[in-house]
Formats: sequence, C-alpha cells, structure tokens
Amino acid sequence: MSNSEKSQLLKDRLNELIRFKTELTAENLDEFRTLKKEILKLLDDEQKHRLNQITFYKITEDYSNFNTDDLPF
Amino acid sequence: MAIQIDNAGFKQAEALLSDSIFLLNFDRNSPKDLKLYKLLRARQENPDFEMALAEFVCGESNNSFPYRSSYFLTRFFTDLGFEYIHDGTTRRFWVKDVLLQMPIKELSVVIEKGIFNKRDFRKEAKEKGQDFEENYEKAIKEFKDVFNDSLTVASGVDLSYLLDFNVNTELLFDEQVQTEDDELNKLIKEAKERFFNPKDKQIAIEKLWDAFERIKTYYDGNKKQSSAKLVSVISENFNSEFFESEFIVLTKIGNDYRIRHHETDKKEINEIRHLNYLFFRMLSLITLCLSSIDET
Repeated sequence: MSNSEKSQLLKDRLNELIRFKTELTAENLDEFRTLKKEILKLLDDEQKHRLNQITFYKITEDYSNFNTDDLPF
Repeated sequence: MAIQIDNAGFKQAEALLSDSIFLLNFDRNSPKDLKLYKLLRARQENPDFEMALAEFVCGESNNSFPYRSSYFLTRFFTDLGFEYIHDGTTRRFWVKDVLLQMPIKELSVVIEKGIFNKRDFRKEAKEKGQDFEENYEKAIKEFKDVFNDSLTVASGVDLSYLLDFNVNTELLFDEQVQTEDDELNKLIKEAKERFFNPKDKQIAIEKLWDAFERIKTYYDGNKKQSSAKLVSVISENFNSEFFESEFIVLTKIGNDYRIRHHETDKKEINEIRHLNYLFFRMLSLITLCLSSIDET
C-alpha cells in the first residue's frame, strides 16, 4: 500500500471515528470495535500501543426503564 | 447496558491519527515540517513525553519553569487559543491528558508559545527575586534533555543487546574460513579471536590486514595481477570500480597508519571506535572475497 493510499484510508477511518464520538451506543459497539481493529492495522507498533491505551467509553448499567416494582422487597 | 462516551479519549485518538497522517505526508524539504517530525519522533519514542511536558507546563518544584496554579493552567491554554478548563484534578495529570489530545502541530504551539513564553519566566523571576536569564537558560536545557532522552529511550530493550548479539557481527564472525591457503585461514581466525579482547584490537587489525595482503596473492604470486582477478571475481554483477577503489583505500590505510608498518611517521589509531570501524570494513571485504573464491 502506498503512502497516499494509507493516508487516505487513515483519513476515512478518522472521519468514522469522529462520527462515533457522538453516536456510539451499546447497539453499535461491535461496529466501533471493528473500526478500532481496522485502524490498528494501519498503525506502527508505537502508535498501536498508544491507541490501545485510550479509553473511549465506559459501560454503565441502564436504569432508564427501571421502576420500583423491580425491587425484590 | 449503556455507553458513557469519553470525549477526551476520542480526542486523543483523533490526535494520534492526525499525527500518523502527518507522518505519511510531511514535506522533508520544509524546515517547519521537519521540526514537527522531530518533535513527533520524540513523542512516539517516549511514552512519558506528555507527562514530562506537563511538568514543565505546571512548573513543578523539580524544574525551572514558572509555577502555574489551577487558574493559570486554564489561562495558559486559553491564551494559546485552546479551550481547556482545569477541572480541579491533580494538575500534572490533567495537563498530560490535555496534551495527549493535541495533534503534533498544536503541541508545538504549546511548547514554542506557551512553555517558553518569556513573559511568564520574567514575572516569576521578578516575584521570587531570581535571575530571569539564568532560569530561562536552565529551562531550555531541561527541555533539551527530555527531548534528547526521548529520542534515545526505547520502550524495551533490544534482545540482541541483552544477548550481547549483533546480527552483522555474528554473521561475519560465524563465517568459517576454509580456503586452500592455510596461512590465510590462520590469519583470519587469529584476527577474529583477538578482536574479542579489547587489548588485542590493534593486533587483530594487523592480522586482518596481513590476511588482506595474503588474499591479494590468492590467484597468483604477482600481487597486481592476482588482485585484479580477485576484484573482477567479487565484482560479478556489480560495479568493479567500487571494489577497485575499496582495495586501494584499504591498502592505503594499512600503509599510512600503524597497521602494516611501524615507522615513526606512521599514524597511530587511538580510538577504539575507529579500530572497530576499520576491522569490520576490512572483514566485510575479506568475507566477500572468500565467499566469491569459494564459488569459483
């Protein structure tokens, strides 16, 4: 792959990443993980190491549909 | 299950990808781009680069940079045109996280216009009754030290270093010399053995140059004719002028320096690094000659 091809791919992946910054949800998490894997393939070892250290999201419990009837007491 | 997006993480990744794109496209003839490239290399080589810079930005007690409280940290970034507001967490960790979110171009602005802003140094020196020039010079030195360390620090240790192994060295040393000329074989073997002893490097070089003179007569007692044949053999599918000149240069070094002759007018080689260089340059040529002879 030439530098310009690689550069274009990185730009495309960067745009997809920016989209996830506002649109990442539990539903498209797998899609995001696939994107991350694709990005990793384009990076060198040091860059891979840095990317793997980044925290993109935290998984929390969804209490939006929770009501007191769910309580066991 | 719900997802809580970490904006700072996404910005770090954006910076990382922007840097990767820069690396693929930067103009090697542009001084500005070369400056960024060098900075980026330091950033990539040293995982703690941003933390070191963060300590400069904060003005920690172990460096000569102006101290910045929470309020002044926020002002530091807003004055440079960046919107980051200190959240009250530990200053240097917060600054490190901010710096990680910056592509290399922005990081260079932080260094040039922020960290080394003379106004801040003057203000601090005046408040503490210190010498501004002295502090500024010290700060530059501290930055350069971090920068240079970053370029040399490796995230791990090369296995070959741990094993005391050098691929090129091993390849050359492992080459078994078995020509029909016993004297030549002995000279090369002794040169290699002696080279491992630092005190014997000079003798190793002398033995190797003797081997070189010997190999020149491999085909014929007439050194000139034999050398010409040898050059032609090793130059097959390559440039013979190159090897002719290599033969001439190395012969001249052997004659001009205290390698083959020990008259007082001969120059001594005092530096181990020069002895090493010459040894391997000659050993490479001899190895090539031997492998070419082997094939004929």
